Amino acid sequence: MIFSIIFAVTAGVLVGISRQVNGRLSVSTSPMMSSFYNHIVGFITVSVVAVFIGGLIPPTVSEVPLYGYLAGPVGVIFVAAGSWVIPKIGAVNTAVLIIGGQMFMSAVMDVVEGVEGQPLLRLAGLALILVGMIIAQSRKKPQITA
Amino acid sequence: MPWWAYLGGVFGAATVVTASLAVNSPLALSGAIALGLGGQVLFSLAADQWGFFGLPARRLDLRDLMAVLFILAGSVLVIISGGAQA
Repeated sequence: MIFSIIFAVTAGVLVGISRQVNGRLSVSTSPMMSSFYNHIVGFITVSVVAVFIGGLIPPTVSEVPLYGYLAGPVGVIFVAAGSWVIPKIGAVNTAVLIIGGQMFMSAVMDVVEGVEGQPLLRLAGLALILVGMIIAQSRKKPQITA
Repeated sequence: MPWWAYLGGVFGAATVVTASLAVNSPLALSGAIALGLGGQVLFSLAADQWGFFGLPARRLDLRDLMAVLFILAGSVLVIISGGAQA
């Protein structure tokens, strides 16, 4: 269990490192360029890993619907957007606003798809997220200290 | 520009590996998401405070902490409300 917890927290930290590094690349190049290198380097990394542990092409690959491959193009925009905003508003605001938007969208999709759940709890959660997003964007100019 | 600025994708790929290890564990999807969000937010607080990886440092204030508290608390409610699987 302790290893599972370490893996989960590490995954979150890696997301932060990735966004920070891509943001640095974006400062010297452009957001789209940083997204380009993120995906090409990620592609190479995953291919090398797959050679050693396999699993890149599962036996059920023919059952995947066409839209199942659309996450890649969405990811291109996602990484470019993150690289664009992180030098402007900082890591905390970027992380917190992305998380807010993500939870909001997942709750909306659950309601649309009629997934079982506790509607009141979900609404309360969304209300808290909305308040947090308003607080995050209500700041004055960011105080750069270095 | 530092050479490591090109390596964001390596960390992205490592994210997928560690995240799937966490999801396929007793934590299940909701536990893995909650802990992952926590790790992400803690890292971002440190990154802003000290300016990690060549990005500008930003002094954290009460507003940052309030935003973090509200959004994390709201996310936990959405996660335990049932379906929401980010």
